[in-house]
Amino acid sequence: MTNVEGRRTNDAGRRTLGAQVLAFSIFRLPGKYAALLRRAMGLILEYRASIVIWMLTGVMPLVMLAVWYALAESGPIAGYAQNDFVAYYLMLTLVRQLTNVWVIWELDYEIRHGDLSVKLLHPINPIHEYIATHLADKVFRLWILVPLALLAWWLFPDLHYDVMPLTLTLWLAALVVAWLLRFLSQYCFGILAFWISQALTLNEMWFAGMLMLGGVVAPLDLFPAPVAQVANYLPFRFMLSFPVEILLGRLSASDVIVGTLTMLAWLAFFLMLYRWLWSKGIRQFGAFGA
Amino acid sequence: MRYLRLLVIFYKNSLLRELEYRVNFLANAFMSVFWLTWGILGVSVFFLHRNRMGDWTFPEVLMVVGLFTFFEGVIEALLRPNVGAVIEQIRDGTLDFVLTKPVNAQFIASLRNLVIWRLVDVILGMMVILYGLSQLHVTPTPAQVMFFIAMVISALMMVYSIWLIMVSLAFWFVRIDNITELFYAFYEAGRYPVTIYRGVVRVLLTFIVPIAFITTFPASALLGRLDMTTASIGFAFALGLFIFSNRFWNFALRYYSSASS
Amino acid sequence: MPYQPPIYVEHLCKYYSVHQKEPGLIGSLRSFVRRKYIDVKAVDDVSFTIDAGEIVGFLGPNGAGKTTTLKVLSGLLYPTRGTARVLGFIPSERRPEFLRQITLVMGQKQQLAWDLPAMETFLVNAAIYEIPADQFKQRLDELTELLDLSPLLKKQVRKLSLGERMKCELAAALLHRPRVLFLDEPTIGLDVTMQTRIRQFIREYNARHAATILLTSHYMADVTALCRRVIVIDHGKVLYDGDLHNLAEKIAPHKLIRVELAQPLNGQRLEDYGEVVSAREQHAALLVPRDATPEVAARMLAQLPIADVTIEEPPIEEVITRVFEQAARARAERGEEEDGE
Repeated sequence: MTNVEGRRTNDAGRRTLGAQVLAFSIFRLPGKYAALLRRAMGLILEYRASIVIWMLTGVMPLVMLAVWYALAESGPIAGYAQNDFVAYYLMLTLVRQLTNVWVIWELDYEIRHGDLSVKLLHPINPIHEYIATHLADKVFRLWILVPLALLAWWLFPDLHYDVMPLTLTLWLAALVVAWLLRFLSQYCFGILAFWISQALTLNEMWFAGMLMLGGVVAPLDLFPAPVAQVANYLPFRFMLSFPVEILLGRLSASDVIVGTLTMLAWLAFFLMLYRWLWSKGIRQFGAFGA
Repeated sequence: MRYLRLLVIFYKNSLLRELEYRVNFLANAFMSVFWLTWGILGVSVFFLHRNRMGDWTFPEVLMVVGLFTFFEGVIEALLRPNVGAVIEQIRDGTLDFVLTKPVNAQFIASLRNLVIWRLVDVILGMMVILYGLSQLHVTPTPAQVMFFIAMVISALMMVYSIWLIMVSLAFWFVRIDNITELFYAFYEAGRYPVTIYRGVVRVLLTFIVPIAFITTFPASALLGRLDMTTASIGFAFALGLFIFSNRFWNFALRYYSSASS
Repeated sequence: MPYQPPIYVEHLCKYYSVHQKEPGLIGSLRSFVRRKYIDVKAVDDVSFTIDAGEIVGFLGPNGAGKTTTLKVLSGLLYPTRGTARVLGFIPSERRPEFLRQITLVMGQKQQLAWDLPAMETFLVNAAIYEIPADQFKQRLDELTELLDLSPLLKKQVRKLSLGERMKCELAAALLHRPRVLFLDEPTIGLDVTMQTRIRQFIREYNARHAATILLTSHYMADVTALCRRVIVIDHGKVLYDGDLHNLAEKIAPHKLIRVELAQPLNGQRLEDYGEVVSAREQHAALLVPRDATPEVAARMLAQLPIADVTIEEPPIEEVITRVFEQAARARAERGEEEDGE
């Protein structure tokens, strides 16, 4: 039978299992994403000039490259010769450009100015709109980065990357997870804006951690052994360095396996943290609103 | 003198505003210490593998780090708050209120706001410079100190001029907020003495994007490595930029007044 | 299933803790060291029921609790105490099925993407609310016709005037044909023509789709045009809930007699008949006690050279203002504190 809302129910008025599964909104997401992405792409194109400038601001890895390159003039450093540094930092720049996240600024602003109310009235989690904008941005960036990457490849022919199909697949997967980790962790900090005014500050520290222990200041190999050991298991490594390490071919098979498992563990952690924080945050919003 | 009194009033108002957000104070002070520590740790990583960067020893590099933080404090406390404010005013059309006041518009627009807690960076920067000096067991000669002060002044002029030019650009490119981020991206290169870079990078940073003048030259001056010629060029360049930025600002203002209804 | 009113509120309370600060440097420093908090009762024991298809006006000064109540009913805020039910749902649970049947339009906030044409947001909403393509087209056509949207759909939202934006906002908010509409100051900042337009639209929409509408407004004209029933709220409490015109009768014991004189008065005085509100050349208006109106009117017609006469209710604004004044007096008598503004 069907109840008042036209949904299939059993005699006790509860929805049948099939209807429950279908009602689980995740199955209806793809259609919504198509529309969200379409609009996001429109927005991104409106802002294309800004985005190019943002891309230009991501040049810190190149500054670090200049320093290490100069320092390695007299000889390799911890197994990295000048060419190795070039290979490392060019790839790191690419990875950084492809995994960039800015959602906390939007989330923090919308929470503190009450604009989130508008999103909360829609029967869809606000996170999807943010994800859609980020995805559209990546599509746009690819347009610029692919030609640049090809140019770099032509300019620096003796760069050593491990381009076996398996490695590339792993690299791609690690890239996607890297973006997810950056997005989810930043989003979690953004949710803190429901309670505190300094969510951006906390995120700044998180970002500093990523710069230091995610491989921007130096490849993780160059840290003292105990530090490098710890850094191998911290989430920062998987937000930037891990994809680069995979492609540089310096990791043993067991390194890769352990690394992948750690990476997935962190992904699961941040997913759960996000869900928990969001439900708490919505309660908080409902108490004080805006 | 009137301008001095105005400055006091501006800054008192800024302080009042800042006190509204007491957590901001703690956060800002903390972040200053945080980033300085981070910067020193970052430099230390280099010294794990080499005992010199170019021809700079660790304490000498620390001085550059100190100057980097010092000027970052100046920018964050005095300059950046005003760029943001002017951009907003242009967007909202409230800049006219500023322009019709009987006070020099550049003065108001560039110095109105002060984020006082960021001056912690200025203090911390100076402390690091002094620490670096102490580790070297050298006392700079009066001439070197003079050079140092001259270079700091020219650096201040340069930094102010660059930011004034960026503010002026806002009259044409309303979406300029992230051009200021470009400045920070290039400024990152100023963490380390510019002489360690080779070739193209060094030229870029010294002459095209004058980062070297800001963080490296004052340090060189204090260490007796700066010759008179370079110091004079530096100073002249800064002065020239200062005058140019003022002209550019006025030009932008004329454009704005004639373009808006 | 027994009838459930679409909107049901009982003993609803919403309290906030807000920190207070004195002006000046000393006040700032003091507040820096130790915060003083006071309790604000935004909504204080409010109860009402709204039936399907009603358009109810929610009147009150700024800070009265109108917007807070709407936010509770749409699920953005949850109550401190009391019950709120909309279409049988508990709003603060924010179930998708609930959100698909309501809409909240806030005059000050917008859901349209600023840099894109409104059409883009409509398409996104169609997907979010799972509106099938044919229904979407049909509804969009209807809304375009009612709101005159065709020239606006392809222009960037930030290039539209305030009134045009509001029309597009309304369209975006109604594409999913919600059964319950919460309209918070929908005509604020609009010019008179546009306000009339929006009012006509709301009336038409209500007539066509029997939507239940709860509307807040500063403008009495909105309320007079659309609502038979009003709920007057001030300082979080309901002062009156009922027919708009009965309100006038209860609170304002006068009626307004307007006369147009055929010739200037000859020694007679208007003051003999009632309280003169205005007297200019041939036109005059007098306030007359309600019960005495027929008698006074008859006397005037008999004794004065009258060309035309109308008998009116006093302006609603005055009535409402009087309601608030009465409430303020009652509060003062009870010794309650006024909150500083």
